[in-house]
Amino acid sequence: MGAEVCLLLAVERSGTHLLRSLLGNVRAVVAPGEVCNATIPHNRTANSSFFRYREQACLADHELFFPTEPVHRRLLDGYLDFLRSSYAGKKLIVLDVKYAHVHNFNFFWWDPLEKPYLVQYAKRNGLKVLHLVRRKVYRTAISGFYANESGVWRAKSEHETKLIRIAVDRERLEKKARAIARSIARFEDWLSDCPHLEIAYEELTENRDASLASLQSYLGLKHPIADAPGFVKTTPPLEETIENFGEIESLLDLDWRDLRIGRRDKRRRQARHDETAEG
Amino acid sequence: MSVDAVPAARRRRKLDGKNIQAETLCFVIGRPRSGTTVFKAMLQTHPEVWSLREVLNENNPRSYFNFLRRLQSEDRDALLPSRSVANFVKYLGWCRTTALEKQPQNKVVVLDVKYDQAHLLCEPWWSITSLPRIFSLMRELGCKVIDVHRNDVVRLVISNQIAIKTQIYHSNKLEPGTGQEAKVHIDPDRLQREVNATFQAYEKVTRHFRGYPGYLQIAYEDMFEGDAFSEALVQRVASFLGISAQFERKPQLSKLLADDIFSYVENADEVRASLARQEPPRTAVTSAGATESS
Repeated sequence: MGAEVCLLLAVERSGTHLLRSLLGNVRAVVAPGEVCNATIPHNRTANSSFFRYREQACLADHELFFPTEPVHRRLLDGYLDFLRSSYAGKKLIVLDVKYAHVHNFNFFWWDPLEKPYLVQYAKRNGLKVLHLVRRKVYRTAISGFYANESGVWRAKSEHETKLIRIAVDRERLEKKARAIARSIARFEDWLSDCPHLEIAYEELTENRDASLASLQSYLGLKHPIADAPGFVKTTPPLEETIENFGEIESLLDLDWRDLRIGRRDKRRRQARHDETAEG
Repeated sequence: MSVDAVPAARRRRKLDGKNIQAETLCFVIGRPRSGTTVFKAMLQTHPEVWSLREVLNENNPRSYFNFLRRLQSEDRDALLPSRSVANFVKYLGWCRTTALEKQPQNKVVVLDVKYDQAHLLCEPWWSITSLPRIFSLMRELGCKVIDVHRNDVVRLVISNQIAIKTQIYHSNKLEPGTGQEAKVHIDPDRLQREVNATFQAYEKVTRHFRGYPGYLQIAYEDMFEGDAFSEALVQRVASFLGISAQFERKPQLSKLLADDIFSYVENADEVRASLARQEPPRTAVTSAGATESS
């Protein structure tokens, strides 16, 4: 029997590199890079690249060009089988799929408010799902701005990081943070009837032992996950790096649930909260 | 850092639609069951209009996917999402050439894209809370866009459910003189969700094209006068497309469903009661293209 597959869903700049590097410390687990990041040229040849698989599969079978539901199911089944054979000997494959990538798995007709096909597929096929959420969405947004400016998206050591100073436009920041919060709300809603484990980035960084224990339990790993991250933070303390820190300081620790992101999302979250309270 | 690792907005270059004569390309967009087919059929009756039908529909032999398949045989990287916009622009050029081959006097090429297919033009990154890339591409290139709305969104959604169940989407699939007789069970929650989603989509698309001179919004309910296309619609569309109003006024397709949409719903009482309990839609979009808060 091949390896189990687990999806790691998150918005970018949520700590997926950190989580993947921690999971990668377990010998039975492989957690390759973003499967829909068709980096050219080097990542294109990576075994885990969905696009690489799709490219080969479409060359071999022209029917796979046409994004109908049966075709997509076949494509996904084939992709997971391919990964299992690529990572023979592993017991668990963790696939990093960013929110902004799930559309690549959707098939022909899709209402953008409907659950993405990948989430439906995960539920139907009993895939494990990790939902990594960085609650402090203003910090997520700033991390993206900083990476854009510095050109450093990930670093394995302090030497690879870069200290620069940036000015943050408050209006742009608020817009971005609200967009992230809306995305999280939508995914939370889509995942509500799909078994999954939600991991908070803040817990992962501040209460690592508990987070690793719950990951071990959810993923059914025999051995504890070693607390030896392979990446370091790329964004320095914000007071050192943001020129107008005083202007945005009050926003930094707001939780995504505290943001006004539309009546519908709020109503849904309230309804779920009430259900949980009643339960 | 790779091209695909960069968010789309950062990579976006100003696209030039001159090579493909973008002003001759007209996208007809809308949700399914909005009346786009009957409207396109009217456009196609014009001697200077050529329609390529739904360009993101796999059943269409001239679809983008067929083009892409040919493209990949020459360039194996063609399927990478970083190529998608360039591929699609090439496809638009091919559409224009094909139209001229079929109709040398062609002035307008009609391309039908449903909202629900728009995600199929995939870029590496797409924020799920924003409109799919194809909408901004239409503006950037300078293409014309006719957006067909249906004010009676409940009817639109139920009509779609009936079509999905029976696989009968147009009257030409039925014996002449007969009508749709099937009944469907409607999940009231799903209905409400789809109604809300449609209003949200209308609102977003309208906002996106606000101020764009190449955008025309029409309502299905304003399309007809009696059993013909309305004179006002015909004149408006002709003026927008910059062609004469030589359209066949008699619709090529007839209405599939009777006026009372609930006569096709098995649990009509339950659905009516559910709709009565719901909040009214958040916004109403006018055919003039402005969004009004309700």
